[in-house]
Amino acid sequence: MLARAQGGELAAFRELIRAHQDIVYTLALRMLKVPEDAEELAQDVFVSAHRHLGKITCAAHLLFWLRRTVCHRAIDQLRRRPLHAALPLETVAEVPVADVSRDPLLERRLRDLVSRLPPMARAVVLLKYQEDLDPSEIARTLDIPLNTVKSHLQRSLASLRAGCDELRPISAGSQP
Amino acid sequence: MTDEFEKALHRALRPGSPGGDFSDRVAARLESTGAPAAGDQLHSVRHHVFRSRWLPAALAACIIAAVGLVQLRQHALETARANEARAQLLQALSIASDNVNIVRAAVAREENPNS
Repeated sequence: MLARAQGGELAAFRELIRAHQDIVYTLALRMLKVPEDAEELAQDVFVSAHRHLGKITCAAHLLFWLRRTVCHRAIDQLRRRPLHAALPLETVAEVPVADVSRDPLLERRLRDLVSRLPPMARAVVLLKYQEDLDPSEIARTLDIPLNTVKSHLQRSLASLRAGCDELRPISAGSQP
Repeated sequence: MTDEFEKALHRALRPGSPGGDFSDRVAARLESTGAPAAGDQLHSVRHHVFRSRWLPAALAACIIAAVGLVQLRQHALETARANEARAQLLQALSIASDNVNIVRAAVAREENPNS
């Protein structure tokens, strides 16, 4: 499919978009929190991917390139946003996900807490728990040292756990 | 507890969907912006490589030419000033020489009033 898209076949490129749109859009929305901004960023990333197709060597490289580009661009956008520019509550959107939740309240709380993490820490957590990347892959994707990834994960998990403890224990039996 | 917590995080952060027609919207944008077809990538890369090699060289050549022109103009100005100074000096020497001749003639007349 990649080879056909590189050959200029738009239908093949559409297939590539369909195969990766969930990842790119969800990362964009969970980073930026505003659906319109996320849609625009996700589209920009695919338009840019179309321009760079000649440099993509394989499917894994394309996935790496998409994750890397969406994260870097989202972080850049967040840095350009004024610090005091609070988003109105109604604009902070949830990504529509398949309803296989065991505890919708807890999961909603977790997503809310993740959305409050600083941009780089949020990107690290999303790449780890949404994309299932290991720390070294996250370091390569975000261009940051491995130890920085580990410390972001450690601090973020502690902060998320503390935030969830305010709601209710995850597993009442395992609480000390 | 950690495993349960991380599993809950995995479940909470599973990817969602941008909604129908996302690929159509991207394709429409590609067509409307006239993005180069993927098949043109090689040409685009070649063009970029050409530009990336020649642009710095062209800039360097422009800078060298500009510096050369400035120095040439400065050299011409200095030469003109030197020529003018030489002409003034020659004129001054000529006037001084005339004056010396007049004085010498006057002294000669006083020494030999009969001549």
